[in-house]
Amino acid sequence: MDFERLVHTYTNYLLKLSFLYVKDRQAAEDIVQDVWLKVMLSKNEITNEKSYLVQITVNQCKDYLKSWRYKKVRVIDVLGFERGTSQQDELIILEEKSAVGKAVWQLPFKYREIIILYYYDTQTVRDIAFTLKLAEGTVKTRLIKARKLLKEQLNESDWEVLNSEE
Amino acid sequence: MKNELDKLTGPMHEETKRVQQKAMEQYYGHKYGRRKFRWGYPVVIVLLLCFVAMIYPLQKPEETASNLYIEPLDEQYFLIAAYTEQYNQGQFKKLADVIENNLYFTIERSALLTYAKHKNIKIDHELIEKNIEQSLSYIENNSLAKHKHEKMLQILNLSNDAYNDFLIKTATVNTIVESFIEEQDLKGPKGKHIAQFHQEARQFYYKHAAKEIEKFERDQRTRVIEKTPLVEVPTPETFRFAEKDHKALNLGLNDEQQYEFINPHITFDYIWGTYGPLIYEAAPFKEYPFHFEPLFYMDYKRNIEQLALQSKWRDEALEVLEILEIFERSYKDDYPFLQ
Repeated sequence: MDFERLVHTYTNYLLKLSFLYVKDRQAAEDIVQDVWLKVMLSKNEITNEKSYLVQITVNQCKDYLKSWRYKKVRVIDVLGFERGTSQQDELIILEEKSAVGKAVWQLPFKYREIIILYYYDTQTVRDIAFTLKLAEGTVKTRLIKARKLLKEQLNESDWEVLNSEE
Repeated sequence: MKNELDKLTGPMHEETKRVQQKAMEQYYGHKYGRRKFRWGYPVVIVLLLCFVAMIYPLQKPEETASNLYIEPLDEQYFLIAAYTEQYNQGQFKKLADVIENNLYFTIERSALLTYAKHKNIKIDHELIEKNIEQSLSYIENNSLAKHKHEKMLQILNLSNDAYNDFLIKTATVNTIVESFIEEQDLKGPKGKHIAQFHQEARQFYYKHAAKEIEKFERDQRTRVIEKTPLVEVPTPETFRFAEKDHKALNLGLNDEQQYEFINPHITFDYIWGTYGPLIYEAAPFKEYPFHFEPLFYMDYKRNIEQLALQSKWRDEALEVLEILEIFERSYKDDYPFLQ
């Protein structure tokens, strides 16, 4: 395994993936650093490097979302008095980013996750099922539901643009 | 869609550079560090042993079971954490799930406080106070946040002081973890050290407070009312909503032979999907039309009842109200305001 090549090839991609998951830039940085530490210490042979790295990253993101650090952010967040990085990130979305991105971030986690892996990581339903340890049927149902929720949140022109990508 | 998500993240060049640099520093440290100091280790170990042997008599007596400080499990903290989670999220949650989740965090909180005391980690009270002051001043100056905050205190019958105390307790744990990282001057990714600190704290606490934990868990779990699992039955054609594609709403009969939803947590997903425009119209806050959260449930319901008086919305509103009646029955043991 060529560690240096992996770091230079995938860091930016994994950062973006983590950020889409956790909505916090600082947390995304910590997560990806932990990913590299795990990879560095791992003795496993890697067959499909991208899929391997995405899987570790997704697991790290989920660990973070279950952690105290995130819980503290949520306690603050649910009352709407978020601060620091999270607040800045939210403000950026609300003021500058696209309606589609904003709608994705407003989806409940289980749907957001499927959209990120399907559209951003371009995984197939089967791959997502493997990554998330879910049944393929569940992934399909969530994907359909996620698209339905997005459709409700987007205006017609945004939805048409999105739909034409299919 | 990929482009839209890319816009959302931005380029993240700065972050990438930082992470790459740290990863490579770690890698080279790991790869070459060991060789560089290979012959230094035995010397350092011997010196350390000598040092320990010299200062050992000067140390205070080792902590024993009798003088070890054990942070008690805080029931009030647990209850506020559980109920605020139940009411503040964008969906309804079964009390059993909320209790399990917050048992984990309440035990971990006491574990971290106990372990911090054992390790002499300082608590930065000034920082905690500053954080809380900032938070409270934000609530005061933001009308939506203030409204949500007041509504939550009212529904949970909580005083401002009790909720502030809860915020302080949560912030304290976070400060401890930060202080631990700072005081130990640990290198490398924070996440790894935090996870290890948590793990050590939990192990330490379980070792010294196993009985207290067991009793606390048992006591809190008695709050959940055991129910006979529902067996699925066909949806009667007499239900208004039966005309729609309602397969997601699996019904069962409870012990009183009343209908309940087998998977009530998906009810709102179904309602959004089937009656989106109506829900949007009924939303008390148009900024958050799909946050059908417990705090605003009664507002939504009241608005839907009003919409049922208008011919445009009547049929759909009546269908939704019929669904909500079953929904409320499904959650009545979990949310007292539905009883």
